[in-house]
Amino acid sequence: MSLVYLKLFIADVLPYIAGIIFIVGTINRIINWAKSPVPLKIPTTCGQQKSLPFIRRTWEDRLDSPYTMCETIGRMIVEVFLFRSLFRNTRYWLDKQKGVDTRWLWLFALLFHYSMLIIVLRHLRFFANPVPGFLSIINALDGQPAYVPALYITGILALVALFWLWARRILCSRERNISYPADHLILALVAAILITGNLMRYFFKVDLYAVKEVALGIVSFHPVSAAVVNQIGWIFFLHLSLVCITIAYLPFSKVMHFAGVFFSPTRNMPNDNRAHVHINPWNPPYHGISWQEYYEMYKDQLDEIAENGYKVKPEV
Amino acid sequence: MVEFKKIDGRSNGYWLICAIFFVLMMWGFYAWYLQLVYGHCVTGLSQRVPWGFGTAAICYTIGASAGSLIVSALSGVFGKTEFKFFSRSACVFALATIVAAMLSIMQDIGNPENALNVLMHYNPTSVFSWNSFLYSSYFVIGFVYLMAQFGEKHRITKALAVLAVAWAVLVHSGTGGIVGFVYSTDLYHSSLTIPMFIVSAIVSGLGLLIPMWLLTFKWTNRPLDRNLMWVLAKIMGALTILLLYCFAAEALDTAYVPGNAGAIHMALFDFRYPYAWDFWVIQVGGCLLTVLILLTPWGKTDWGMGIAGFIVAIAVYGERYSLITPGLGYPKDLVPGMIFRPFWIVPYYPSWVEYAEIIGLMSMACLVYCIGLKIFAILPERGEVEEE
Repeated sequence: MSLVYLKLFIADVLPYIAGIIFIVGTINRIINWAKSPVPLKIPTTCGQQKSLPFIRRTWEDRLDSPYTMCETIGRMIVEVFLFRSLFRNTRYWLDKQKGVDTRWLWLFALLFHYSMLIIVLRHLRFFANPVPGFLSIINALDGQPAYVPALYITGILALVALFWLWARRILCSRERNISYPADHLILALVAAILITGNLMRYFFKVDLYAVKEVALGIVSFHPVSAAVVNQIGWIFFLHLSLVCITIAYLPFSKVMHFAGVFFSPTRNMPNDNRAHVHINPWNPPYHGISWQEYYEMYKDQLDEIAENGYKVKPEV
Repeated sequence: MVEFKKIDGRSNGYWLICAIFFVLMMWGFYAWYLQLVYGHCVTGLSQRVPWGFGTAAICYTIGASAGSLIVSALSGVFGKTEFKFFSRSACVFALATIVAAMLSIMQDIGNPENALNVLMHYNPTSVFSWNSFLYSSYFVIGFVYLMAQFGEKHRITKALAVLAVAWAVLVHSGTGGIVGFVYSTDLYHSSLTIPMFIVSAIVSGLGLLIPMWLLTFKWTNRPLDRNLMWVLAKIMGALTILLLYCFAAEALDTAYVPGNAGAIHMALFDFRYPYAWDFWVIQVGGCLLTVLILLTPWGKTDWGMGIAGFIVAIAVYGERYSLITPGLGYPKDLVPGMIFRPFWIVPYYPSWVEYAEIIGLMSMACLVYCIGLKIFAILPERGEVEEE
């Protein structure tokens, strides 16, 4: 008996199961966030907020304490693409009376996320036929001819940055205290994917034509046959099943911050408390009374006041 | 509600323990390196006795893992909520020891690439193939069970605890099957091996966990209810008596077959070879000593329980050893009734490399447990039942 059934399952069925779990789970969580009430206006800010016209605001203040929707969008773009809030990762030790710059977190987070982006983009060459032109540019920039096949800088950088971020969770006492086992789990999964991917590229090489057939089969809903999967080495199936497990796990994990950041009230609200009232959706329904009803209730008193020459009807 | 809390792990004692385990682990890996470079000739194994100390360690570590997982599931399966304190740490230890067991298989097979043979040439009629499936799925189930405990998902935890216990029993029955199903070796074939493996798994699991917990709670200055420990020690003692009974039954059963006379004589009464010493001194003597300690009033103290656990853990190792090696040391009955010349008994003495490898792997499991205490919340803040 060979393992062809397991291979066929991993190549033809598992990606769809993972994809369905991912899509349904992500939509479910996004709907959940979108339906969540926001009782208070709580943008976290640190710049000069919009005040009287003679108070000067620089463009940094506008980004840090946005007043209009445009400024909020600008802030969100900077947050999503450049991780601006991590760039403020500094600490002050009261006992030593000393500020410590810990912005290396920002550097490694940026390295990791952009490396992963480029890695995912590079993988598109398996899913598209013919290969789009921009991918060859990325490949040419990324691959360094120090080794055969060309050494992909991002594949190494992502792993280095990941282990740096993991070491931060293990070695720094504060981060270790607030880390849940799930935080380590996702790091371990991504590390396993990166390691198997790098091993597959540089050491245990597989038949890339067959791999491309599998990938095209997945996106075009044409499951591949046993002859194709038998040409591919075992490490590819390890890599693919780890990827599928991770994709299926994403909706339940913290990695959903890629969607959650857009729903976080501390980031997506303009700081215009003084100008606009924010209605709390939890407020009980308000039933006021009209002037006519009010007049009926206190008719005698109001008439008496009016007789003394005072004006009782409010000016609206 | 049990509050689990990470330990601070910044004291000198903590680093010292980690350093000791790390050094022992590296010593073991160095021995493994020697074995990889020079081959199995650095071990005491021979053509006739290819399974020795390391193979006993495979059975032992898998047994310790299954036993720990069963102890971990006491609260989930049997509703003994007072044992919930130990469920996470026992589960972590079970996962660490199953990894140690897999690594000792890797040491045993020599060239690590041979591990892929089970995938490339899967043979569904082989007990080894069943076990390769059982061990890997066991790790996954234990891992998911641990994650469910961390997530405080009570209903899933309960369901997974039942599954994990069933799987642990299955895994260790499979391990017992490796030895017990072999027909051609006089001392192997026995249907009692499988239930005996389960009993000794729980005994060795408790034997390792009781001293470990006593020391962990003492060194982290967390209160521990001695009555709970004593309940576990009593279970361990009772199962040790059952184990002694199984030894007697199996030895008598094997000895009653006329063809086995020579083999059983060598294994039990021929003190020129190491096998009888192991049987009487380590296996039976260790078990008897454990029962004796637990029967005296001293057995109820911390020291008594801890030492009894430690001794029985070693005694079970001796049991695994005497289950595997004497059967190979005695020549096989190739054609019944005929004796082939040369006919000789092969004694087997483990070399330091084998000791180092196994001590290294067990240290690795302990190191994982120590680091796990620091990174994950697996130890309860108070190991006592709260007064209602």
